[in-house]
Amino acid sequence: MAPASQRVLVVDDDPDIRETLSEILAGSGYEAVCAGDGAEALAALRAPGPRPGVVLLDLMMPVMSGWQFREEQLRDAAIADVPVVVITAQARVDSGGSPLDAAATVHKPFRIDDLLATIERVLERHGRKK
Amino acid sequence: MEPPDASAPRVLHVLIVEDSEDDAGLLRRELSRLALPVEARRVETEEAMAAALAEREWDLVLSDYNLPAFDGLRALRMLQSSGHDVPFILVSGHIGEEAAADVMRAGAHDFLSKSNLSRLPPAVARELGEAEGRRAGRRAQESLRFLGTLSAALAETLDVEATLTRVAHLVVPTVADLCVVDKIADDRGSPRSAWAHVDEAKEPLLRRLEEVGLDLDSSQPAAIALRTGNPVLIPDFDAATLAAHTRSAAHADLLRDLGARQGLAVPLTARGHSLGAITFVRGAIRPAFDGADVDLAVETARRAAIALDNAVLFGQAQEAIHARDEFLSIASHELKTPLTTLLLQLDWLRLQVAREGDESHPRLVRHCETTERQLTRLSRLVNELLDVSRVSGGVFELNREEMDLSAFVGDIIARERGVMEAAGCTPKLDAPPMLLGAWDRTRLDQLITNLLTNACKYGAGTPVEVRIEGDEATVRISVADHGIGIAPADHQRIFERFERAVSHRNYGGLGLGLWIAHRIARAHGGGISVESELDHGARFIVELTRRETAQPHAAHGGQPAA
Repeated sequence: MAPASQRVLVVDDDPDIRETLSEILAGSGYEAVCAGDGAEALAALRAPGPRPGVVLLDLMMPVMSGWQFREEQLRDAAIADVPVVVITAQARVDSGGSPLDAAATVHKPFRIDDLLATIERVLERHGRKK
Repeated sequence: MEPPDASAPRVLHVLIVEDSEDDAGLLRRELSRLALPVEARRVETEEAMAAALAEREWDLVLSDYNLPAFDGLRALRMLQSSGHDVPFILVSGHIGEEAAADVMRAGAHDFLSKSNLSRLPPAVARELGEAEGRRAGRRAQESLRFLGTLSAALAETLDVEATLTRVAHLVVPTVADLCVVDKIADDRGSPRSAWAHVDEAKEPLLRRLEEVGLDLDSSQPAAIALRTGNPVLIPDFDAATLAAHTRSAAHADLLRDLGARQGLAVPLTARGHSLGAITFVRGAIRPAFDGADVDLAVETARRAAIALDNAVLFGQAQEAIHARDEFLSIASHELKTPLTTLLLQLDWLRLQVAREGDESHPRLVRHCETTERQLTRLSRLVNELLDVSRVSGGVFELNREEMDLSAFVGDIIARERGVMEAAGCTPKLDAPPMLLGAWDRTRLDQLITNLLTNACKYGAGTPVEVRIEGDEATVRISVADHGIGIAPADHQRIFERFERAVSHRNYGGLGLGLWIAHRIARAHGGGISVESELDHGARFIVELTRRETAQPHAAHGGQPAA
């Protein structure tokens, strides 16, 4: 099994983005786990087994938005420290309510090299990379 | 000017300062020869005179010269210090010419001997006429002053609410004791939009007046004025009139509690549209509305209507701009999601090709590159659309970070070199080895890319020269081409939104590139300018502060430096 730090949780309501992104991540040495909204993402973070080292979070999603997910996540001490990279088409990420306090923000549309570099940087900063 | 209700006889109120009831009787008899009903009162002491002056306004004072405890000169002085311009006629027995001259010098309007009282009626008629003339002159001046103040106050705002409130608060107390402004909200009526009363303690009652509202089909004076387009004068709110012009007994009681004795409603009309009405209400102690009052009310309404119309139009324009920005924001957001998926598909494809070795699929690689170029171009256009709404909405977040400008611009040129060379516009960079400062990477990239794209577009296949210079506080980036150039007359215009110096038939794009570049440069505490002539190429010069300066500027959404 891949080390926990190499697991990436992809949270986006667009299945095409989820699918392509996880294939590319897999090709770059990560294990991608997918969630279609904030509630699924919370469940994935709380599931038994190795915890993802980083969450790639879309903001505008049905059921539970990225902002709501972030509130819930920060309230749960067991998963609060997993860093989040916000991936959004929103011009202003703080306009949806409480501040997101994300490790990084990547604006859609993005180039994959930029996203991979960001993931690498965030994982390094959070000291999980082996 | 004739009072509007000419059938009501005017009563002449005369104050007689006289110790002899017999003499006063003679004066009354002479006054009865005037064509006016007369009400006269006799006083013979200073105290009685003061009480009479405080009680009401008088049309005429007839005064004896010698009284046991009072005299004509003191009576005149008291009248003058009361502030009312009332004709004062000295009517005396035998006094010396010296004494009479003293009183005339002090300001009496005429002097009559008691032995010659037949002169009284013509003297009174003359003095009343002259006093009326003086009064009309003063009122005309006051009206002009009021209208001047009104216009000045209305010119200061483009807000509908503020416009209505200012009208009400200027009308009271100058013209009326109570003023209600109604702005039509729909074809059925409206809440009272603004109001003012001389007595601030009446505020709770005014709130109830708001609840009553205005029914356009009712016989409320404002409703009649709106329907007919003419002023409506209610000279006396007696019980029957009040009932006829109110919507309920409670409404009538309310107006009575507000001290309403007479009302004047005038329509607010601009460009042929009824916008509402102003109702002027006076209490018992005010003189009756006359023709001059109606003229003043109509002129007030005319000016208020123009201001209101402007404010409404301005509000509609602002709403339209907001709706446009909102739409652009949503549209560009919606366009970004499929763009993201497309770019990811392309990235995946390229990774697969790279894994098998680029040389094994040369045509696939070339088509991937073309797809990437077009997708990048599409991304930029979508971002420009978003910028229109974001930047015009005043939200322009800069995220300055320390960097080397020479290397940064070098990287951008390296990235764009392929496209530029394909257009025949080989880029050349002239920059110092290193130029450090703090700028927003994304925005600066956008600015320089916009200038390079423009240089290629209008460079007509000539080389593009980029030069970077800097001093302690600022840096200059210039991008020059040798293409079609820009006529000096267009130099200002090209930095505006949706503008271009050339025909849209020959050159595509949204016409936003230079406008965005201009805003980015401004947000960085600098600016952008152009040196160009037709057919002689163009040089765009961007100046930026090297680091954030202390004073925040309007287009900057971030935190000002502490």
